[in-house]
Amino acid sequence: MMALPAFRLMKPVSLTEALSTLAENPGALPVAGGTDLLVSMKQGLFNPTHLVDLKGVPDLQRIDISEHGVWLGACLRLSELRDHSEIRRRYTALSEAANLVASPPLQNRGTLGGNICLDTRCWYYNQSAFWRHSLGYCLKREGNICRVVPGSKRCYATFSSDTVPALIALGARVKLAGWHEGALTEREFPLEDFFVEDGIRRNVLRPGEVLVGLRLPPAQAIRSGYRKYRQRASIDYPLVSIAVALRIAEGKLENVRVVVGALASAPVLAVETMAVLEGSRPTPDLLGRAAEFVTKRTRPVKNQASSPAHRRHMARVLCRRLLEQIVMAPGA
Amino acid sequence: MKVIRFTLNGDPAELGVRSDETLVQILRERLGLTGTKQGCDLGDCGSCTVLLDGEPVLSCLILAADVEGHTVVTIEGLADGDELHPVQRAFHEEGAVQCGFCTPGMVLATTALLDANPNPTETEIRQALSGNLCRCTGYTKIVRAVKRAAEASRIGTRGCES
Repeated sequence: MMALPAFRLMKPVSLTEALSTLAENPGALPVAGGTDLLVSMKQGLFNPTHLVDLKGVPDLQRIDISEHGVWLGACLRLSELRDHSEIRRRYTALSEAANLVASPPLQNRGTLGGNICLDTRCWYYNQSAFWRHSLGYCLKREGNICRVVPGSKRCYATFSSDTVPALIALGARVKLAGWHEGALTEREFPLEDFFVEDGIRRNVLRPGEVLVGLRLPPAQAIRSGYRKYRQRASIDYPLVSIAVALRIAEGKLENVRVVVGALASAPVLAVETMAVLEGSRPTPDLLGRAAEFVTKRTRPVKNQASSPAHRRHMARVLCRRLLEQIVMAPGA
Repeated sequence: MKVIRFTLNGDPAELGVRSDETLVQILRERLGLTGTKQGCDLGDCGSCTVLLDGEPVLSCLILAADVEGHTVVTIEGLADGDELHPVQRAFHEEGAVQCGFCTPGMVLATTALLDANPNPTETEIRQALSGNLCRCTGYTKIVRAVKRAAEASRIGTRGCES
């Protein structure tokens, strides 16, 4: 049995109470579904003094869908996104991504906000305290060298969220809330700017700050999809994943967004692929050619199963298949 | 220590729990319900599956304090006295049990699936059970048992409790 370290569970019932509790306790961490955090705590990767449970904050459970777009509260469960008929119809990539996170029992518990703030992953990091101690730890936690890229000053742990590539492809903006000198602070910006290419820091969330939710622009006949490659077709984190969103107007591709997951420490916009596709008339040859560029901005390292070359190859394969499926589908 | 109240297998339960205790811990160690198995304890294997408000969840990753006011069903709560639940009977009759460690989780995940979807396709069955690993790799008979349970409840020998 792997026991949790001792901590105090706090159950705030409003956002301001949650933020002030986090501000008053610098050793505290927010928790929602707990499906990732509790595992890491059992492995000794986090030892918070308090856990501040966000599930009781009503503002974070909200979902609003209108012609102006969508608001998704951070504590919506992945199964709710997966099963929501309007999300599936208008923002297909998000529904497909939620359906591919871990396994159904974890989707019943894990939340959207948790999946966005997911810790980066590495063979040498996601291990028990005993295992890591026997090796002498690593850069990301308690050690001072990278086991994957010896001599590296930075951590290469892999960005592993499924929903994020889909959300970035769909043009999501993220909203954060913090607590400064007794008052609520808020900021909102495009989701791609939330992440940093650093396996340790991984995003721009400040201590005590909380992800409140996401805003999606109106769907307006957007076509989208998400593909994931993993060791087992259930449970596992992605070895590579691809999200695509685009529109087709008068036979030409428009507003093309292609995002690659799990090949770096942050999600990567495949701008070369997007440039080839934007404004063009799709043919099987063009889609195949565009997919060839999808890994151009990624340099994965050997820190999880299968070789970096194979993961990049599968990125190109998934990208081509997904583009063909989305473009050939009957009008959205 | 916090006192929580919840419904466990149809009966009210009341228990003092620590913040860092998980649901599987209190079920097995405090309440003696050892039918819920503790496998990997890290959310991979699904052997600790219980139903929380009717949905399958992993009790190793749920804080005991979080079930306050909710309804929990474990494998002990399915049978009606000596009368097996139709899903249990189907697993028994199909021989969909080898070492038995994954079985409570498989049976509960199946029960939740059939409550939501009484007539699942094979793909839907495999998807619904994808979070439950059988290390004996006895999946073929497990899928067959789910189909048999679905059929049994359709012809009304005894409907799934819903």
